[in-house]
Amino acid sequence: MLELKSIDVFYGHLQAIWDVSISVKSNEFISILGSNGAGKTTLLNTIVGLNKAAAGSIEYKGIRIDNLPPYKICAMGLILIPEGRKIFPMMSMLENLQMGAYLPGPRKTVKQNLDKVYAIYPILKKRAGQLAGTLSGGEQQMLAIGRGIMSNPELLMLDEPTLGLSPKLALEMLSSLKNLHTQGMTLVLVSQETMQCLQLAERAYVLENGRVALEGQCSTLLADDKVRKSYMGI
Amino acid sequence: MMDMRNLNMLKKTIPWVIIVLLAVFPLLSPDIFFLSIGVILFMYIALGSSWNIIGGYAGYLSFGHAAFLGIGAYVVALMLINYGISPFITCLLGGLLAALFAWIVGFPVLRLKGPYFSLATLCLGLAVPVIVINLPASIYGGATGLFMPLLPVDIFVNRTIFYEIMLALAVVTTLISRWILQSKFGLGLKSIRENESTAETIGINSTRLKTMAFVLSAFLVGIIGGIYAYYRTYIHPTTVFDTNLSIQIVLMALFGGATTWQGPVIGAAILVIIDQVLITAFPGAPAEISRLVYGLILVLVIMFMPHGIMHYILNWLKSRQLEAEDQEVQKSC
Repeated sequence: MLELKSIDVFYGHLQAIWDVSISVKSNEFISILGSNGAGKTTLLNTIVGLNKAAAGSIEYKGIRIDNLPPYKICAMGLILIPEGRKIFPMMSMLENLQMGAYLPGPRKTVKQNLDKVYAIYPILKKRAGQLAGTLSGGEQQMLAIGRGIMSNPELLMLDEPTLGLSPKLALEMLSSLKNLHTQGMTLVLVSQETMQCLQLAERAYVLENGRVALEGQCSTLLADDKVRKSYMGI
Repeated sequence: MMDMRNLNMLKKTIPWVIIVLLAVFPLLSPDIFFLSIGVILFMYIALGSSWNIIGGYAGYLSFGHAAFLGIGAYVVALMLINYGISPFITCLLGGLLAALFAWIVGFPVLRLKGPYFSLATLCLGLAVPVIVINLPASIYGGATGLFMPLLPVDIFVNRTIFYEIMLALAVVTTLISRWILQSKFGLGLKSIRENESTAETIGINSTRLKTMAFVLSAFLVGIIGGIYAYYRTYIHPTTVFDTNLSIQIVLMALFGGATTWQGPVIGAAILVIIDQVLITAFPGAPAEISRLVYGLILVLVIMFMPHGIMHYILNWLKSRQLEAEDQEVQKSC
């Protein structure tokens, strides 16, 4: 479904991503792991077109997207939920969700998607009129994911959805993702919660200094000594 | 509750009653001075509402809107002097030319963000008059400016005509601005103001939306500029491309609350009236005194109401509504 071939990404003269190749098949649950500064966020931003790849190609559903502007990529059903939530704080919760359905396609299914979001995160229904900036951290993250769901995603990428959440909320967040996956959505999850991610996802890529250091089935990685030592401290 | 519905009806009718009262005001044959204040007041309301589309909703603070005003003014003056076509028709052409100009400069300028956009538009506002001064003086008036023939009516009727036209422009631009705020277009602009790159990732073509807002804003300002030129009958690069005017528009919109459609209306109304009152309040004193007080009021409002007056009014109304609902719940218990 998504195919990255030998991607290089630069910030000015600084190279952040080196020769990264990743592939995501339909209905897969992929996890991208790595320490701070490994290039996880850069990679996701490049896929949705916020950064441009200097070399290599990105294909989505067989179409090259590495030269398309972000709004066109979004229209194809490839949605990123950005790191740090990035909701619109001075707009109401409901307006934020509606913004997810801005394009003509998703506009037709606002009602169904709204019900879907409220079914996954019932607490949001009570917050409809509230300014999004006044929601709690966990609610804001739910809102960010809800806004993503409103866009009718076929491939949903989540950048650190557990950032700043308490361990309990983080677990709930991750299990809500598992539900989305069983409903048939393709997911790419970036997170620091290595253990949980490897238990939830099917395959994983480990980034180190902008390069793919390891890749494989999660069960294999979980058993891998190097992964256990560097990322789980056991 | 019956009171609630009546209150809502009242809220809807009051603005229209005020507009009708303002429209019939010249029938009382008031002093020409009041008509002149009306013209200026309505002009600033119209300018503020037009500016708000790009400056308030999208958060792109343009400090160069006088450029569009001046273009409208010059188009109207040139068409009247050379071809004798009425400014009330050619003001549309002035708007179109201002819009075209905004569309062209929008390509580079709208790529800038925050203070850089403001600076670029400020420079734009300073550059256009220099260009106009250096155009052939025999046609464009150069540093002498352009004189237009007066409307062949007496001064009172003349003022009344401009009073009514400016009132109509103020109402129309405010309605357009209100309609935009409630539309999908306005929602997109708001999301650009809040976070442009996130807006793009959820499918918003921010370049197109920003350009549309900038062009529409310039179009309306160009029309107002055309009417203003005919009202003044004499235009000069330093008066119609006045940077002070650009800044005044921004101030009034921010003063009233630039994220709302009512903001520019309230801001312009309060500031124009304060300005006029101050000038007449200290008749013997030097003009600087009224400027000082005007500045002081601005500083105080910006310090204590940084989001503009409208923001506070809306919050107050909301809290009162919540209180009323609470009381109703208590009564029913």
